[in-house]
Amino acid sequence: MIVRISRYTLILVAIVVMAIYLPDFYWLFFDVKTPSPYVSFSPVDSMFFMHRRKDNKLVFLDEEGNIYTRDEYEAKLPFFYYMQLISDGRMPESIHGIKLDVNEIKKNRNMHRLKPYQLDIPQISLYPLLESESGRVRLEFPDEYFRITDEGMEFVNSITRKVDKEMSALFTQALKEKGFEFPAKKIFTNPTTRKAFDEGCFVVDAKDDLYHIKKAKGQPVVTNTHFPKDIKIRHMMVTENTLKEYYGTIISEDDRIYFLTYDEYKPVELPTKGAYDSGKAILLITTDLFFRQVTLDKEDGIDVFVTDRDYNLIDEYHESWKTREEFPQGKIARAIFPFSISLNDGSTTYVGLYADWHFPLAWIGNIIALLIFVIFLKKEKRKLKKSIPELVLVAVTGLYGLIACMVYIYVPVWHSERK
Amino acid sequence: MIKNIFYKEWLKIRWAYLARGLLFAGAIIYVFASVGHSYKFYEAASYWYNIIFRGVKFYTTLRYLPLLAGLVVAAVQFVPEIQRKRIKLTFHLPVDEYNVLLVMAGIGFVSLLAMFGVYSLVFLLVGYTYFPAEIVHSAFLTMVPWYLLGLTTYSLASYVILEPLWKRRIFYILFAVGFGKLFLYGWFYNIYDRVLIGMLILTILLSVSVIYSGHRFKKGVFK
Repeated sequence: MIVRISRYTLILVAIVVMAIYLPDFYWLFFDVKTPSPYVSFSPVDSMFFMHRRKDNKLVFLDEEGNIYTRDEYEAKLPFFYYMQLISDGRMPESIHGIKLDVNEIKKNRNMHRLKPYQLDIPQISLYPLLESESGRVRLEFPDEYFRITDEGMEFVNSITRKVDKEMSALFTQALKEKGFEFPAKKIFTNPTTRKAFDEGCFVVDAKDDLYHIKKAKGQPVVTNTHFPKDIKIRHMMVTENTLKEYYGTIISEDDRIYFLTYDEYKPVELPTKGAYDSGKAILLITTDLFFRQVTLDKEDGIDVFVTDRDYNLIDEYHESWKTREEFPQGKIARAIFPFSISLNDGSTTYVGLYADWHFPLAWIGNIIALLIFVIFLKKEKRKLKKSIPELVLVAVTGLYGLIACMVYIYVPVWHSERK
Repeated sequence: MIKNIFYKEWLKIRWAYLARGLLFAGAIIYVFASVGHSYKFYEAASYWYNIIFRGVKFYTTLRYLPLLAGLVVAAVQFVPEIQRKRIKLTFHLPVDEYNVLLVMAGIGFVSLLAMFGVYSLVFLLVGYTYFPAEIVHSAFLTMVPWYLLGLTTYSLASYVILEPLWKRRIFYILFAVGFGKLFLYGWFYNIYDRVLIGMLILTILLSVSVIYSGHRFKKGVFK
């Protein structure tokens, strides 16, 4: 019995190990990559322009496929390449009659990127709360980190490593006065001093209200944002920027994207037409003097939505391409390997066993593996009836099962059973 | 009889056990000495920032120590047994062969487990004096896979050592190395939290692997 347990455990381990490493090894030789284009909306021509890597060369195109030189391309995207254009003396004075001011261009130019795994990442729940009105030009890191417990907001001093009772009481009191219910469900901050100013943190309380908490001259500033509760907040990217149009970007549980605006914390939805899958697409939000752009970069394509400054959709661009699975080498891989396992599928930071099944194509490889196994058993003069579990295993796990069973077959319990 | 086996195994592992005890103690002293040094030379707040938001592991020195411990215990316990096939003597004792092997493997496994338990406890207690509980607990959970790797390494190393034929042993080693690498994936903290239970079950299942090789050894395989 115990011999059997150890043998089957070892076979299982061998199969998992092979399913993780062998496909990876295969793809080291035969991988294909379609580099996704970098798409931007031109304020000059009101159409999409892009650059992409082709045969290790950068190619500049518009959405109709016309090819441009680098200089021409840059001139079409003055909000993106204004530094280069100014340096070359090619910066236009105005576009469509609107006079251009470099400081305005700079202020409006923002970029926020969110990768799928960032939505599901372990977090030690201690956060800094920066002083937002220190009177200093540069932001400074505070000595205290806060946590939000069942009882209140607690500040731990990193030098003494003790709870700062005074500050904790002050903030807990301020939160309670505004109706905050402990504990916090989610806490979002932008913990860096490399930003123009600080907006503190945003916290979802126990009854799903979104609160805005700041520290100004050492005093708590707490606001209930009255964010609509029918939008279930999954994640918020806090991104302070001098444009001061939005505090950050909120991703809802149903994969909608909102700006949390400075206009009384009203949410503004960015158009995605349901194309955003937060587990698969890299989200890129860009803003410039004229437009707001949402780019969804996926393994098999790209979706781009452009709005004007009032968030009305004005144009969109879609392109899709074949993934490596659809190329001949992908089909061969699916026939050889009945499944592949990875420790991480990119949608999370956590480790798991993510299996990608390759049936029905995998039956080709599995049947061949099964035939080889039967021939092997015959040669070893073993009875097929006695090997039914192994035969089933090889039928399902193909190549992996075949190798594992051949490595771990010779348990001499069977020795006496041989003719 | 079992008591005698205990004594025999103890004779084999005691020096290795003591050496590893000293090594671990040294490593823990080193870890917290460097934490103290960091507190002295950097702002505490930015040191915490690196730990919380950049995933810096102040305890990274301890990463491979359980692995090493597993290898050493397996080696001192089972290498002498295969020299001139000494284990055959054990198999001729008037007790069940598998029970003898299980007791041997059990002694190694439990001795490692006890050692890892003591280290974890020391780490937690010292950790609390340097960091808030959140950071210490995160560190502990991040280290659990390393300890499980130590136990798995012990089980897999002993079955590889006891396997009579090199032809098979090569495959065993390939699978074992591939499997061991899965415990050291990624760099961020706490990423194994969701699979710890599964890893624990597999570690326990694998702890009897040595029986498989022992069985082959006893039957005197030729291929």
